[in-house]
Amino acid sequence: MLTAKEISSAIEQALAEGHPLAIVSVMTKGDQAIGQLKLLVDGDGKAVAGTLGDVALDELAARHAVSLMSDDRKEIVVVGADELPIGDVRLLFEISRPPLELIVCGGGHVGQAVAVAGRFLGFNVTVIDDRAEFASRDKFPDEQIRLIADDFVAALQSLKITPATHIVIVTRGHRHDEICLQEVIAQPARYIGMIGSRRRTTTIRERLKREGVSPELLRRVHAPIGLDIGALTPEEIAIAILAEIVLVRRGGSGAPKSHEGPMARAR
Amino acid sequence: MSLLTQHQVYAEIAKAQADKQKLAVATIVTTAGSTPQRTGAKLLVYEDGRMLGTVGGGCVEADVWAEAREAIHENKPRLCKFTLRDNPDVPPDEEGMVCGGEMEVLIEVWT
Repeated sequence: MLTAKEISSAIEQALAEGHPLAIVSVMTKGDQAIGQLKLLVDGDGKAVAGTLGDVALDELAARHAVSLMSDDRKEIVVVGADELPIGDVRLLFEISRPPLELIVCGGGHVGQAVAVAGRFLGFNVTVIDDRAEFASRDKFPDEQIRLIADDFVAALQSLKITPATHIVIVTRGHRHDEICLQEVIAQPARYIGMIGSRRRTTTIRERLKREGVSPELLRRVHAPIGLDIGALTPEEIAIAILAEIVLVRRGGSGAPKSHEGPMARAR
Repeated sequence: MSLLTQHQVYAEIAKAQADKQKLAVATIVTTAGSTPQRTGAKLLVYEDGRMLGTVGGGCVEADVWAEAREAIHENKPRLCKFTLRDNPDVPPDEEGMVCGGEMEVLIEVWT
């Protein structure tokens, strides 16, 4: 049987790598509560430790755990004979996910608003700017926001970018935007977005393509960044960006929900 | 109070075990209907009655606490079902809107 210490170190290690971990337990067998027969399954579906007491059951559980981990909304799920051929057993799946990370490249007006909005949504926020007066507590009074005043490339290289990382590129100019994008485009981030008009961002896409960046990688980039809500001010732009990040994480259409209301025609 | 993470829970169990303290971990595993509780919420109950975390407060928390202490005493896991209704004799639709939900709580004992 797994010890609590083994489970706690396994969670710690998976989350540090930016990967989820599923703890599967035999919750009940018949009328009997069980609880401590546990199996740990990593994000790739590998049973990393423990057992549910039966090899076939372990395999079924591992496969099911992967499908649950791929859905961001699933945290705790009870599965019985209706869903899996497991007889009179009910399995409990508990999924640990790494904390959400938001890296904001650029500490200007938009970067400041994005950092605040990111904190509001529960992200760990890191802001990078190569101008110390912009990566400063003056501009970012929230002590929980991590500030890095350094060259963009050096700063990005110093950060661990994982599938739990979201990157918003909003520096003071497209030259720096492009440098940042180039640095992170092949990283396993969940979201990469870059500010700029359609024309500017198209120019950057084409240049990166000519430099040998693959079309698949370029297709991952949200540029121009954000949902089209007519945002004008930095705060509105931040909401448009974070709305897009929520959309990517949770799925959705981005369209107004009302079919009858004043926005109906916009659908 | 924010919910305990899985990592916090298992780190806490490991700590209690190192101190030779028994404890029970109560987890809301399913909810149906309207409840203020959230699945996945965990309450740790120690042998001496101390608690960490929350399953949402109110009378349910007190009931879970009592069940957890019994489970520790018996040294056996249990699955408890709770029906959340202010007055169990009144059907929910006559009461107007209240928490008319049901939930299952798994209580595991770690020694």
